[in-house]
Amino acid sequence: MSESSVMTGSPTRTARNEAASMSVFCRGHPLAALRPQLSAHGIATARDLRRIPSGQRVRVSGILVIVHTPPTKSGKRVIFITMEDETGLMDLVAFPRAQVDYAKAIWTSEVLTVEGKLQRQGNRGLSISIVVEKVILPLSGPLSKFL
Amino acid sequence: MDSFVHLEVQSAYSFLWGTFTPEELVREAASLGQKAVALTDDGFHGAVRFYLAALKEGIQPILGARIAIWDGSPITLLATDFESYGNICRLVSIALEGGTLPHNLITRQDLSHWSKGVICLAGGRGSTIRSALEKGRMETARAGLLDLREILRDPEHLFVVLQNHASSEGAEHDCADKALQAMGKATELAAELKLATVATNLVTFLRPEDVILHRTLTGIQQRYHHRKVQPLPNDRFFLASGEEMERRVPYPSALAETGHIAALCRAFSLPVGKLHPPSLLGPQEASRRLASLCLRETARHYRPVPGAYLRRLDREMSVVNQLELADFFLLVRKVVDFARTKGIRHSVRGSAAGSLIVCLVLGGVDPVAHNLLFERFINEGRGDMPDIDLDFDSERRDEVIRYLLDLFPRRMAMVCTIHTFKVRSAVRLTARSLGYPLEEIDRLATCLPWSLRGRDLHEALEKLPELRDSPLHHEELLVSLAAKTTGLPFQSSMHLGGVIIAPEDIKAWTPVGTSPKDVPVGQLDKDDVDVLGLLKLDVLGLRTHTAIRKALEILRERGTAPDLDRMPLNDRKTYALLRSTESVGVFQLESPGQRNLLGHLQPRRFSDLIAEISLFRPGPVEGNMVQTYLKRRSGEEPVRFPHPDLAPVLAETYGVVLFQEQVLRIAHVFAGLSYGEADAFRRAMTKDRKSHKMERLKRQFIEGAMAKGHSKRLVEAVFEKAAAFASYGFCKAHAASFAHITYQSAFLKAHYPQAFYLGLLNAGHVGSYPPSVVLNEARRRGIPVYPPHVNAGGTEYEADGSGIRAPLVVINGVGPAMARRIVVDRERRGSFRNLADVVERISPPERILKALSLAGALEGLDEEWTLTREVAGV
Repeated sequence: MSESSVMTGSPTRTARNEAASMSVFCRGHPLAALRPQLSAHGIATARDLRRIPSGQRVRVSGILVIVHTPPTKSGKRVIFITMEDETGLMDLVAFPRAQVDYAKAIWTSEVLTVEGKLQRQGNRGLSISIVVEKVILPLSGPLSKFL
Repeated sequence: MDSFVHLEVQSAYSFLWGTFTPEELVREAASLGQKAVALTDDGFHGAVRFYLAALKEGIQPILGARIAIWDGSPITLLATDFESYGNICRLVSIALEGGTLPHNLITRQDLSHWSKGVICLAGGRGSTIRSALEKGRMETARAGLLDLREILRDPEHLFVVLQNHASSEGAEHDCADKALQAMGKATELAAELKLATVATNLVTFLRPEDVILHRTLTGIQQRYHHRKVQPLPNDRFFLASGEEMERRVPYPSALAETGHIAALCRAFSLPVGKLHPPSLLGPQEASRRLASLCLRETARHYRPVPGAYLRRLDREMSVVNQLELADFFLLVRKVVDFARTKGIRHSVRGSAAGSLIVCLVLGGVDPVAHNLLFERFINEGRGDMPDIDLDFDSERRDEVIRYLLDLFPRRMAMVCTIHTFKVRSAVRLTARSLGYPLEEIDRLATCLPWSLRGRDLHEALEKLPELRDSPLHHEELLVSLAAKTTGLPFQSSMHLGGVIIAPEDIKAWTPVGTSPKDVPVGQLDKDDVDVLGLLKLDVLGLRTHTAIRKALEILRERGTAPDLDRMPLNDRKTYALLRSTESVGVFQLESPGQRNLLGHLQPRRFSDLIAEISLFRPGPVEGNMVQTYLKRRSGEEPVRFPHPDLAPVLAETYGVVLFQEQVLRIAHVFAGLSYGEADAFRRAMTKDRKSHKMERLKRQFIEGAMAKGHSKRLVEAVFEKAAAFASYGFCKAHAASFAHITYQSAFLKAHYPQAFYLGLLNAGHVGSYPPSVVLNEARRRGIPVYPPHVNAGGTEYEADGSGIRAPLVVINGVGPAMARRIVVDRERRGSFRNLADVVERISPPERILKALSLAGALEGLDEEWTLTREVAGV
């Protein structure tokens, strides 16, 4: 039973079955099945972000992994978001202005498509984050609905 | 001055009953002009904080407890001294453990045995005596009082309670006439039996209007915990003034008796401000053994032994001897020896890792090589017991606790943790109490954070955008009650690892109950233990140790396990992995913020890991130290020192004050403070900057630095800097200790990724990410991930060739028992041949069969494909 031998049916259906029956995805990340459609909408992957210059506006989709609001010096609330697609983790920051319209979507969605500005920091530009400007597609409810 | 003293008072530490904290009680009593007040919860969870708050307010604290005796009647017991406090602790312990009677009642023998010095208030609300008095059954009431008088070791300490909780709008049972009649009869009976009467009010809330909060809390008991509990009938159970009590209880002698009882309790005090370590070998013998052990270990570790190590050891030993702590080190060594014998992975965390004695006796990083400061851990100026926090493989930590229990029977108990209502639980449980249906509660709690840092519920509803449309805006009563409930304690549980070892019977210090795992648990939280000067060991569970152990077990089977504990800390591949920021699963460096910092900092050596761990903390982040550190490190900004004298202290961190140890060194080198004074300065800056102590230390700092020839302007500038960073800095010894585990986990990930991931996945919830993220990363790194199958895999993630096989338990509905059944049957009777075979041998319920099919766990078996299609509706 190799990994490839269990990919019976379409990738979307496989992902849907896994979402409905297991707590993990064994046959691949569910967004991999949707990549053609996501790419058609100009949605970059986590891997793509390593090649995109700082300051450029990007769109990304991912499953929400961590959402948290650590204390800040100014006392203003900043929401830090970690999402994952099939190529890796992506870290995003939503400042108070973006929170006005999108905080609810961020706290209640399982999958988000976000538009924002890419920031690369550090000598090698390896510290990558996206400053959220817009949440395009918040999806809540069981992941299977999306898939 | 109000001469009345409340002697029956139940705070919020009578969980889900009382409505106020002990601190609030003390403030309210003071505002009424009362000179003493009692706290008589059903245990002593709030005792230490009450005691401290009362002393601070200048009020006499009286401590006691309410317990139920053999006939179910509640009595209130008060301590006249520390010995009788211990006796009450033992009685509460008996009640907690169930005793020989059902319903947590104590027997006549229990009360007789442990009543020396104890004051007993009997005949109050809910008691058989009171009920008999109300019904005119004087014989029963007389028998009850005679019984108690006979049993108590100090019969003159028995008092008959006069209470009047009647309200003009009260329930029938508590009408004024009845209360007055009962008081009259109680007074007659007391006179006949030569007993004194005392006026009390069963204080459960501070103000009459708080009765609604009491009802909310009891509603939680009824509707959430399904307990049979009745709330109090009216709003009279508040902290009444002396005048109010005079109106309610028209018996001057009973009112005056409250003052006499307070006088009887005046000799009581908790032994705070002194250390109470257990005596084991005695200071001299312990010192001799510890020194000998250290020298042996030094000779074993270092050949030849550098002089610096011997000088350091000498310095540490002299402080340890001066503070008579050698016994303590040998005790911890015993625990570590046990763990070593049993092969339980462990490490020392916290400031203790800065000690060479700790390194030699307990293991850990080399404090001399990493420039760690012993005095941050122990110095002559500290009056509290030093903390040695130990982390153990979390799956095996209980073995260590059991060992300690065997080593110190009757003297050991776990520290307790008090849980308070956070905003989300307050809203949910208050709504339950008010009778909202569950679906409605879910709707109301949508978007409500678990806790609101620095905000109250009202402010959150006003300001948080995700709560703009919250239905809570239309729930005035619920929100107002939830806001009042937030912050109140609602239960206690066993602390994750705090172990108290008392100098004698632990029950002389705190009541002790038993956890579901049959471990004794006290009613002192970690702060209480410090206040009482008791020895506390933190025996913590660290899942990363479990993950590392499980990874090493796999590698040992393959004969490729590295010696993680003795390897040099300079592996290039390990640092390259960390520089790539692919640190999911690496201890301490995997969070989004730490991954981001890895991208900036690009670690190349062990000291970089110490800095990385120390930088990403609320203090350094809020103090803007991170950017300065990174810019100076990368050469974007010149390295500056406040004064050339401080260059040796701050060079390792590019002139930034990053470590608490640096604050101590600045005060020592620049201002000539002793390390004891320097540490006191650091602690004062962290806790109470406006204290007199802080003022004195500031003067000392400035005078000391000026005596060294520095200008006042410079001295004040350095002081301000050191003071500002004192509360931001991180303990370097702690960071170094953690960095060692970080290195070990990163080394495994860099060299043995499959074993690393398997260890991580099988160690329970480790770190920031769920198993799905770990599996996705493994797959991206070329490690195939296989789904669970009835003919492959079991109850844990397993190696399958070069890949990872998910366990059957990831399938919804398949628990460990079902997974084990499948595995055991497969091992006994061979692979499952087809669907009928699975059904016949395992008899899984229909829903599990469907889940197995959908998950692909039946793939390859006959008929499976058909079922999948049916289930999927294809």
